Amino acid sequence: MATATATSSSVILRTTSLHKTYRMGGEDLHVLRGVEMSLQKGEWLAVLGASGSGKSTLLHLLGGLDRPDQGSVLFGGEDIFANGSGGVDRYRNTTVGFVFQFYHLLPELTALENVVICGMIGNGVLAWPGVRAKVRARATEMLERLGLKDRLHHKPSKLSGGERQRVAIARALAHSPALLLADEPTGNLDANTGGQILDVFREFHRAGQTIVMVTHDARVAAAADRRLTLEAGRLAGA
Amino acid sequence: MDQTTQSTTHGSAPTASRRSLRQRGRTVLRRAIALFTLWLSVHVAAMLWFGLHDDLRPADAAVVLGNWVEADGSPGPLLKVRLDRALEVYHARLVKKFIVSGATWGADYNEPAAMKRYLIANGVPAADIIEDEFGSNTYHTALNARITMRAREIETVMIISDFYHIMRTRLAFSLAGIDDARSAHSNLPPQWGVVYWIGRETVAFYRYLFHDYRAQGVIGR
Repeated sequence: MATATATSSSVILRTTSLHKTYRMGGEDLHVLRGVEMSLQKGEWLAVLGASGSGKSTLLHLLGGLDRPDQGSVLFGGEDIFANGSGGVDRYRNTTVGFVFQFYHLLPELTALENVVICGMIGNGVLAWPGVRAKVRARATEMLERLGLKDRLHHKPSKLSGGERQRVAIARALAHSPALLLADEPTGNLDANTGGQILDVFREFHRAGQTIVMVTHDARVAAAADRRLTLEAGRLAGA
Repeated sequence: MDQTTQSTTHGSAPTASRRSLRQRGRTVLRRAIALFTLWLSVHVAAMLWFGLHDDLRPADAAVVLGNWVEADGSPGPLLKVRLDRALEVYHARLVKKFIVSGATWGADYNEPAAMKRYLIANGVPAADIIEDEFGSNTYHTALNARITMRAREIETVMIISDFYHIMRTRLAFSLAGIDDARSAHSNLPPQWGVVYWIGRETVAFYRYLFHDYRAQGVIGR
């Protein structure tokens, strides 16, 4: 019983019977058909699935980017959609960090500025002078940890694909989110550079970062602690 | 001899007059071409200045102007670069919401829906995307943006489009009553089509400048 309680209390994220349907070209696509999953704190979970299987949709529901038609997403035991749009916004901005296949860095800013600007906007104009040094130090620390010490003042056009993705990871983790959600984070990179990005994930995971990563590539998924496959709208253990 | 001289004098007078007229005509034409070239240069310089100098002050929402959507429902190349620019400013937290504005034809062609799908796939919450299905041209987009801003309590917007389109869009927004719009241009790859679009935009800009669109009233919702 004690073991069961400990296991239950270490579950950080859980879904109950998630359903999601999209209307495409006049047809209803029932993408998720009752997805049940749970995630332990500090775990690295990979969700595998073919293109169009709904794995990105699942990630968006876990991150509060979209709402399920049925079912719930529980973080720390609380439904993330229970407190209206303000509650979901807070969850997304404070608890979750997102990494995508494409980096979406502002080309006119340097690597450091791309990470700092989120902290700048997040804190507001009045609070900014008080937190500026702290935000800048945190951004510098994150970029240095990701091996970009010599690239802090380079613009994205002067960085390789792998370096740009590392800047995007630094931006996602700069506010120390409890949960990192990654959608095909190596999808736009060659095998070698993709391997380096997985090494970055491995390092943060060792330090306790909880990660959910969706990918179509079984070799990429192999880096995770646990793998689930999304087929016909449902998850199956691999 | 006299006759010959007389006939020459009689024949050369109109010739000299015609020559003088032709010369004057050429001078006027040269001046007109010079003036046109000067005006065109100033206009294109202004278009480039407005289009390439982004105003990246934070705004409540970005207005992304629609463009061609492929048969499979994915954004065409021009629309994709606009949406990628929109995602850059969003992930840098310079904007909080999107107004995606474009045309719809029949049941299968829907620019705002395609834009929304692309933004969601790249990390934008569905709840933060407002679709405007009546943005069939730049002015309609501007008018509908004004209505949406009032309805959703959005105070400031950032225009996202291609560099050659920004100046006319700013004019359209100003005509619609939105004077303090920010703007950011898409990272359009170099291509010859730009020459055509600059020409098209030049004509369209003066249509907007001299046509009283406000008399048409509110279009769309």
